[in-house]
Amino acid sequence: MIRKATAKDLDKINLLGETLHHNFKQLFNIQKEIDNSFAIVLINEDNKEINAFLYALDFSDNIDLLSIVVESEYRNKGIAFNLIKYLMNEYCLTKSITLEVAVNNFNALSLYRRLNFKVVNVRKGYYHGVDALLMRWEMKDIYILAIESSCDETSIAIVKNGTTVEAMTILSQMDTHANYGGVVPEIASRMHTENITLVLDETLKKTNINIVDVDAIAVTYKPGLLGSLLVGIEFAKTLAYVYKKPLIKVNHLIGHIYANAIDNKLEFPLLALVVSGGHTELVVMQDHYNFKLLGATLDDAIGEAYDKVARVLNIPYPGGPGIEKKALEGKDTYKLPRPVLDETYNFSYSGLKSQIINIVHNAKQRNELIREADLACSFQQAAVDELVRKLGLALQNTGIKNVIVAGGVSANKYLRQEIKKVSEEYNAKLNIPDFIYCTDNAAMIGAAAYPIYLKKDFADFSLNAESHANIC
Amino acid sequence: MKTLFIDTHFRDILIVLYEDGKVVDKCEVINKKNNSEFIFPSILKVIDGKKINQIIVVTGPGSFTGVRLGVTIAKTFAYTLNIPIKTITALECLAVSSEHKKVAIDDENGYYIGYFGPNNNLLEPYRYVDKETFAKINVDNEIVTNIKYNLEAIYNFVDKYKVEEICHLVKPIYVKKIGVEND
Repeated sequence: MIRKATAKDLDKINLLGETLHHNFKQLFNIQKEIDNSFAIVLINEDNKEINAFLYALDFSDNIDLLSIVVESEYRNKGIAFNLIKYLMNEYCLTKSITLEVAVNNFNALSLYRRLNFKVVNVRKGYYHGVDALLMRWEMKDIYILAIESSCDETSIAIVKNGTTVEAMTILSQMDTHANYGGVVPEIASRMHTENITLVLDETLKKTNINIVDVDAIAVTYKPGLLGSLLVGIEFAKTLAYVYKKPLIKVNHLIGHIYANAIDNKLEFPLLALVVSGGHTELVVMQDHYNFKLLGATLDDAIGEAYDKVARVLNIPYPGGPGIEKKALEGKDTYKLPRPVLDETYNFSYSGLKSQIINIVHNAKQRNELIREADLACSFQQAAVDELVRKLGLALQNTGIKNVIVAGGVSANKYLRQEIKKVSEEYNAKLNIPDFIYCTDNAAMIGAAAYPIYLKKDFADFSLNAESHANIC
Repeated sequence: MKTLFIDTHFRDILIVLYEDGKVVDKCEVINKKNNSEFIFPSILKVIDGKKINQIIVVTGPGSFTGVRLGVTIAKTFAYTLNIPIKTITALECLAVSSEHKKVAIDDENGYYIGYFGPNNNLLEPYRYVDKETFAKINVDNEIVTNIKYNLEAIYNFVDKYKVEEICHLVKPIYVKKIGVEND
């Protein structure tokens, strides 16, 4: 059995190390390295006896394999092979592994060659006059074809290694739904069925990568409009079957978070601010797919508040961008009182929305004119202030230095600007996706599918849609 | 030549595999409420790794979601395997399966009705009527609903009268209006 080493394993590791180097204990100082976050110390044990260890350093995009020792009577049993395989599988978000090996160490050379390590350089006389070969193993590029159809956008993308968008098509139905003042679920589903093969055709035209070459098919399965989700899911199953690819199910909200992994590397721990039509949440991520909720809205989501206020102000669908535009022409003259000024990380937007409704209602009764642009501006400032204040509180209390923003509302320019300010104030590194990846798109689904692909957590052909879901 | 026939126009799922017009395998799933879980596995059971040369899909009318998923799968198969796709409506299936040429499909609230000529040519556009209207127009019980599919007759009809369609353009027929269309 292979596992991470603990302090208890030290004596045995040092004993094994001495077979490699007489001064191993002082030279490598494994005792300190076990607690070091970027050191990897793995041991293999059979019948509770440690018989091999592996020691490597993780430089984020490369792992340097420093030593690997198997007790003499346990050699030629594949233990070293399995230790390196374990390293590749468990730490393979890392792109490559490098190592040095003496040119006359034939057993080791043959092992590394079997594991697909390639010689990249020679170090003359590195081991007391014997040349060392510098070898490197590189993870193969992983291409995921991703499908998003949870609401009113039919989107397909091909994403490399969870970060590079090779091709993407987004077919928005917004113009159709604008005729009805909002998304009509049945019409959304119909349009997905009509367009989905065309969207695939269009996407494939944009790249040299064929579906035959992709490694997996990913699809949004929750949350969203059931009828719309199902079209994407059945389409994805058909592709997965025809091309014999594994199927990956992706949570749309986690997709929005992973929009931040596009052309960017997520650095943990991080604070994720999720702002959309259905969600307003502050989440801590310690690692990939490790989410802890700090706070959430107690009533309306911020995007919902934008839409409802837009309706009151007669701003046509979609309301969010409408308010943002209107607010540019106005000033914060209404001085709306701020929502609950508590010290939790929760949000509240229904009170703010009610105030706007009251203001408009009262003005109507008194036959007064509403300064719509000013009211839109006042609302936007109050709404964003609340987000920024809570984010600031979280940055202060957690000491976390990485911030990402996710969800449709992150396309709002005022919100982007204010979040940038507060992140700078706390010296935190901020990432907000490009505008195109803020709203619904398949690239973010491909990015979110990548860690699932590496864990080989695949879905089967009975996959079904779910209308509701949370991040954690 | 192997033809895959997909019919998900109602709660029931019917998947048939034809070899040169003869039924060689089929899978029926009766009345499962949540049929999206069962459609694809049912298709896989029937295909069973075989190479398919043609698709026939029932485009409705019936359950909006049911027929949509069948059509989505069918056109995706046609597109990815680059094989011909032909369509038939559920009402045509009934008409070609029997001597009755006034046929209907019922759902919870009413009936989809189709009137056909002796050669199964459609005489007037399909319509959807509520139960009360149906009772009025069907006083002499001329319109028949409970017709069992004659699978080989269906295949022969499609083979003889239907042309291959462009897969991207295949879509369900809904007939029944939805809320926003009535406003």
